[in-house]
Amino acid sequence: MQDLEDTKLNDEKEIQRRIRKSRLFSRIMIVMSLVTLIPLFAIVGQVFFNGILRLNWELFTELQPPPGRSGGGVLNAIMGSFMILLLALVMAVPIAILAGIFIAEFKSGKKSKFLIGFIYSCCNVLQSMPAIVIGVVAYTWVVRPMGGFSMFSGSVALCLMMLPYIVINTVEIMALIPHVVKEAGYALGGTFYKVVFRIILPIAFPGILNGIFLSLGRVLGEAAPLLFTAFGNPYLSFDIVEPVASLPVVIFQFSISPYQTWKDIGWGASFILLFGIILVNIISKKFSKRFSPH
Amino acid sequence: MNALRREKKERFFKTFILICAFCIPIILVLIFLTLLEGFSDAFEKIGYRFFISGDWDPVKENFGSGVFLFGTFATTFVALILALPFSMAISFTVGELFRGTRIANFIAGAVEIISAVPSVIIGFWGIAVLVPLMIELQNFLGYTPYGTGFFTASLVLAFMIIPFSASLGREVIMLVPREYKEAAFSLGATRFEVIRKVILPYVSSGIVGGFFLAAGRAIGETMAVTMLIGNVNYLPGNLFAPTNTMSSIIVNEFAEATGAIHISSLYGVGLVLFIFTVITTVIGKWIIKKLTF
Repeated sequence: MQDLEDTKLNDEKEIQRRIRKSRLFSRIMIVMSLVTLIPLFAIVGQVFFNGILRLNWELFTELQPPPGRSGGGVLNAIMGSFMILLLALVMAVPIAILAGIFIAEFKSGKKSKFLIGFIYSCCNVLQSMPAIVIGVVAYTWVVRPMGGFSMFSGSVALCLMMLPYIVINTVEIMALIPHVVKEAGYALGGTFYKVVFRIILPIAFPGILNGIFLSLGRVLGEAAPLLFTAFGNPYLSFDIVEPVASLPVVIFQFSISPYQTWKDIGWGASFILLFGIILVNIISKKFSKRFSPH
Repeated sequence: MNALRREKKERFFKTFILICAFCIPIILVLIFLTLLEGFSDAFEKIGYRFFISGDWDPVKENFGSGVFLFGTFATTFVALILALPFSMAISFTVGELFRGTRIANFIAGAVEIISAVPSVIIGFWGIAVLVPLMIELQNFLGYTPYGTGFFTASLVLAFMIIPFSASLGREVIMLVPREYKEAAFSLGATRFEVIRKVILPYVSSGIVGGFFLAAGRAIGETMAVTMLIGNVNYLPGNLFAPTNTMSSIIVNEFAEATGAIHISSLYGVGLVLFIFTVITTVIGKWIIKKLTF
């Protein structure tokens, strides 16, 4: 009898041991997860506090000051980033959406499976391509023939970076649309073209827009592709064939410079950039919520 | 007649979107050819020594990318080792242990924000905050206090790939069928034991695939690494010494490269980056795809 009592006690102790081990593990996991977030708060906090101090009318309206002089702002960079991105969007969105439609439509074909898989893999590869490689290539394709840096070449580089994101997103959104909708369209006698544009795209539109915003947010902060294409410009420029400043490049230049005044402006520019990215992400989330398929 | 016109419009549209879709592989091929063509001059002159020699000499026009190959792969390796425990912890916390709770959602959201912060801002913060800290550390440990250098860059790189590998880990953990886990729980397994004996074996190949994909991302990371690696064209003498990576050498020297061979060599470095991106992406995706069947 005593043996039975002892084994039962040992069993219970064993179970308690395992439970304690599991609890310890869970606690360690969650602590490690929270520790990972410490640098995030450090970075965002630093940008926020340093940036907010510099946030004044000057930052938004003035141009780059000469080294050593205080004051000045990043209007040239803000406008430049805006224009480069707009042009890049105009170039990337039509091609990417149409490519996505093609892939989504022929994904299920028997003969075309290999081809579609290949194209999709190419999208994945292009998505992971280092930004600096895209920059070098855009330099070779656009800057060299044009004979100089330009906003256009910067937009080409960013367009190359945005394409795979929008394509992949479009394909995923199209996959969410129920077959019956498409088939109903065909049953009513619609051609492929009409079914796509009158039925599928309107339904997919919010999701696709969401993807466009996300790719925008991703590309907004890229400096590497613009280093050898749009290059930089201390003056305000609206000319497509002239070099133009952009926020990420300006932050890069200011941060490695030895001038404290420039570094100060850099924090302000970082704040604007980070704020812009967060804004774009929030807008895209709002879109996907408002128009989510009911 | 109407039907004929419609038919023509149909075919035109289908061909048009086919061309659009083909743009992507064509772009990749063009990128490859551009880099190859750019590298041809230097390759003619230097040959395969380019990939082995550590001698990067613009004056003697003798270029060897050994230092940068080491810089990129070593920083990626160290970054992955540093990042893996933390990204696994996040995957477990959010995907399994505390799934659905408010704190898990908070962690998941915050980790996503990490990936939204641009590389230049992280680099800037690194210069302003991390470098002085590293100088303190290096003084304390008795190393020359460079501040920027191999370890600083690896630390920041680790931080930057955590979101990516954590989300991969989470995706892969969600692939484990509920029945397996519930069977284990019904047999009296604790959460830790379920992870160890059910989830981990199931996702182990997915983790390896994620490893490849994360490595591919880390290899290509440019701005933050460039700002923190120290920019010295020699192999690091110790863990904290400055060196250079493939992406940082291109950033630093491409705009002011002197001589055709110099520029051509930089194209060669870009070519190596391209090839490794293709390899890691294809292998990584393939491994993960095998897991989903």
